[in-house]
Amino acid sequence: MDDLYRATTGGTLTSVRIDRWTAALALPALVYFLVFTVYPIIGNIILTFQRETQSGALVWAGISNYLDLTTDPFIGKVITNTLIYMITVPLIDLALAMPLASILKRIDSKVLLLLFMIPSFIPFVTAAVAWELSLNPFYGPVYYFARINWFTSIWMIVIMDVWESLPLATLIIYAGLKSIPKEVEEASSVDGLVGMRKFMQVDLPYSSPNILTALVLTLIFAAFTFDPIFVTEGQMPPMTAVDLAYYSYQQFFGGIIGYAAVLILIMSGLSTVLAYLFVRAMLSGEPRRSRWQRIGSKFPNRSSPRWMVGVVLVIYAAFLLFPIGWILLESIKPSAQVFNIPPVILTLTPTLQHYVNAFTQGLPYLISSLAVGAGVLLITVLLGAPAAYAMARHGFGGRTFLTFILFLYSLPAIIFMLPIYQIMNAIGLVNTWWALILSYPVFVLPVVIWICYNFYRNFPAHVDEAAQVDGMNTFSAFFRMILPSSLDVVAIAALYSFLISWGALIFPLVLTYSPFNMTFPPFGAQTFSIFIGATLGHESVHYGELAASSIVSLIPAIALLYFMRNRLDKMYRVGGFKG
Amino acid sequence: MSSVLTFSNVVKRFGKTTVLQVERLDFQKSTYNVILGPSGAGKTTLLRVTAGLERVDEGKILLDGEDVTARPPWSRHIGLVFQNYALYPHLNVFDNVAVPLTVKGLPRAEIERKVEEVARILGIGELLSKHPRQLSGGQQQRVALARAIVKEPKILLLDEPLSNLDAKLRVELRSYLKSLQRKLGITVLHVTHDQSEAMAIADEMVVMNNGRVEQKGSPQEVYRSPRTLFVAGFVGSINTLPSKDSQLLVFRPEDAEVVDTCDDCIKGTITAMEYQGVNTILHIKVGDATIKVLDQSGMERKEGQETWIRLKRVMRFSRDETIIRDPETARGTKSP
Repeated sequence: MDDLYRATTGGTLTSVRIDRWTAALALPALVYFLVFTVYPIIGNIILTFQRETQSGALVWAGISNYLDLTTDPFIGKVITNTLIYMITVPLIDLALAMPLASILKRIDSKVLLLLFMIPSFIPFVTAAVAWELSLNPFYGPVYYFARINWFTSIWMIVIMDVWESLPLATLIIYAGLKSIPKEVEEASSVDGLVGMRKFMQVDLPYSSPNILTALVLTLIFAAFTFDPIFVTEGQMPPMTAVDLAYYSYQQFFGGIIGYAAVLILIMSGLSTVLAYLFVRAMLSGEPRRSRWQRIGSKFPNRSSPRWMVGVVLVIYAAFLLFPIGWILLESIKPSAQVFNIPPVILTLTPTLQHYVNAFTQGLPYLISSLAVGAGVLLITVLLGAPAAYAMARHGFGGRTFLTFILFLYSLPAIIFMLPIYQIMNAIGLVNTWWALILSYPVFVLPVVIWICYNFYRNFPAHVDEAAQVDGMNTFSAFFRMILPSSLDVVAIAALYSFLISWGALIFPLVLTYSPFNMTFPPFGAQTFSIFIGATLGHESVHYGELAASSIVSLIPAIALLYFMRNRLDKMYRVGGFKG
Repeated sequence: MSSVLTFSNVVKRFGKTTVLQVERLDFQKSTYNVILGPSGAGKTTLLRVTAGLERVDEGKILLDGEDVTARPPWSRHIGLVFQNYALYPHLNVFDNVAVPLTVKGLPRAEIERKVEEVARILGIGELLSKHPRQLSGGQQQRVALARAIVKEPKILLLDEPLSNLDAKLRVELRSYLKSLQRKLGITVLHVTHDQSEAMAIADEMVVMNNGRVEQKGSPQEVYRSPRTLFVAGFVGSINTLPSKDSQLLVFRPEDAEVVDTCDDCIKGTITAMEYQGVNTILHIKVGDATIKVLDQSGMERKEGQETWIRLKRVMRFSRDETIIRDPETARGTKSP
């Protein structure tokens, strides 16, 4: 059908024959995935039957690691916590995202949309730090004014999770609302449908695939919560908020490798189920629309008054922008005012001292993050863009490969942690930039491929055909003609790639242990996210510097959002992918 | 004359549908060939399998005596102008035209010489530093042509080259294309669905329908001696009347005339008139059918007037719509 459609519109047909040059486009990505994702999944299963001796050697352990599950006093608490995240976060997200998406569509302001997206694009560790500075019971403004101490309960982590994932959920639903055909919008307004009833009878049925996708993505996000737990670990009562992801990291750090592998295997099972739901949501066909009509007709057919929309918007803005606003204010306060009680809101003697400190003290971390980000960017774009083109234009790998990419897209990085550590250990790369540059593509490459794939699906075939007729094989046609004429999308994919590297926390925690030594040959590779999350974050006296560093860490996110401002909603179209 | 492109027993399928089935087709060197047919006739597919952009399922394609059936597009040495021109958006005109040469790795000086020569021939010398998006449709087409001929291809393929241009430019450019072909002496395959365009410029026409070649020949042959009813009807307009032994009588409007009286003529009633200046097209009801007759007499006629029609030249087609015998001058064919 797709071919027929292209034949009637563009006169071009996708040739399904895969010659060796086309295969060459996708081969590097394929090999990478085999080594760094398929092997780790198998390697982790082997680890569950092993344990580490005093000397660090791995020996056969039978099923003892599995039996440990039954005697572990914390496992019940850990699983309960994981379930709390999985249930509360997605539901709160959806309940808040649907009204916000409709309001954003109604007021149609690009600036507001971009501002509201910030929490989902900044590093999670920064988000956690921003909330920690706002909520902590010592100098946090929220505690001072509201006298509520969220800080020692699991709900604080839930709030952070919601804050970080709500904008993305909103964006996905917003993209669904924006893709409602113009004729449908016009017909419904001629029919006099407004307000809640229009939302129920038109918007909801049309964007239901997006809502489903948002639900599944937030579910995956919440199920493997890590960064907020890591950042707040020092101040929380033990095990209050620890979930499976964090618990397995603790086991790994304590040298209990085999048991960590068992926990990771459990998460792999869980994430496979969630990934299956994700792939189904993304590749689903047309939604069934009729059943919404009956329910929808029970809702009032009234448009909400403008003032009400305004009030609701202010509440959202307060929630989504407050923590960032607070660290911004905090970062320019003189040190003396940082620890004032009552807290100083707006300092009258602003200073850049904290930024100077952040840059001087954080420089080795910053250099590592930039070097690693650049390396990962190069690898993921050079491997991802051609693979995406081979898939989209030549049907490389068919639906199977596409499903595999989406599957990886939705898997949490932590399930690859142990075998990748083993690989890097075996080739002596632990605590070097190379360990991070080689391992980050595990979670970056699927994203880059997915972005490029969606773009190349609609890329005119003529450019490629002209290049072939002009004497280029499909491989050089891509690098000489296709890549240069799709630079804007490749740039977005590259920025995205950099952004994910920039915010990564688990891999650098596992694969590095010291900051860059600032000499040649480079050694030590702790990243800026570790600088924020651990080096500063675990000592509570550097609030100003922590705030300043956090603001610095926002820069790539703001840059990406700015570059994507005109296609933000199109990036998150869902469904209808036939592969 | 030698054959530069030969199809033998070529079959191309998309899924279960056969879109192209050509038993034998030859194109002679240095000729202007037009592939004509309605949409879905397989004419663009014919072009794309020639270029190698689609691979045939059966049969052989010989280009310049070489079997190129299994060759990919990049080693076939053909020039192709796409319907939408397909210029490289990120390159300026000079670089666009130079692409086929840079791919071959020619020295810079030679590339510049060749591009400038082609630009001079096509009159795009002033456009060389512009970008495709700054060009009009006609200019883009010339650039696409330049890119296709700069590598001196064995054959030049044009896919509906005039369909994106307005009517006036289309007529201008089609004679330009023909003169360009004459000047360069190349072999051209030009695909179109416009029969007047085909007739105007073709040395040889290939009329296609449902993936098959219905007829190949000069425009005169195709027009005057169509082999099938489809060709007769697609190239020019025709009238059909049933006759005895379930054959079809077919004649062109200009092959009939209105007369006052005669012995073996057909009787009819004028129902409408299309005044065309020199001539008038009369719609005449004969029995249940309405036929069109080109009236060159200049005499005044009225709607509703009864009249006699004399057929000067008729063709007879059998039930399967192939011609029964060559058209001949018919003197007084009895009306059915």
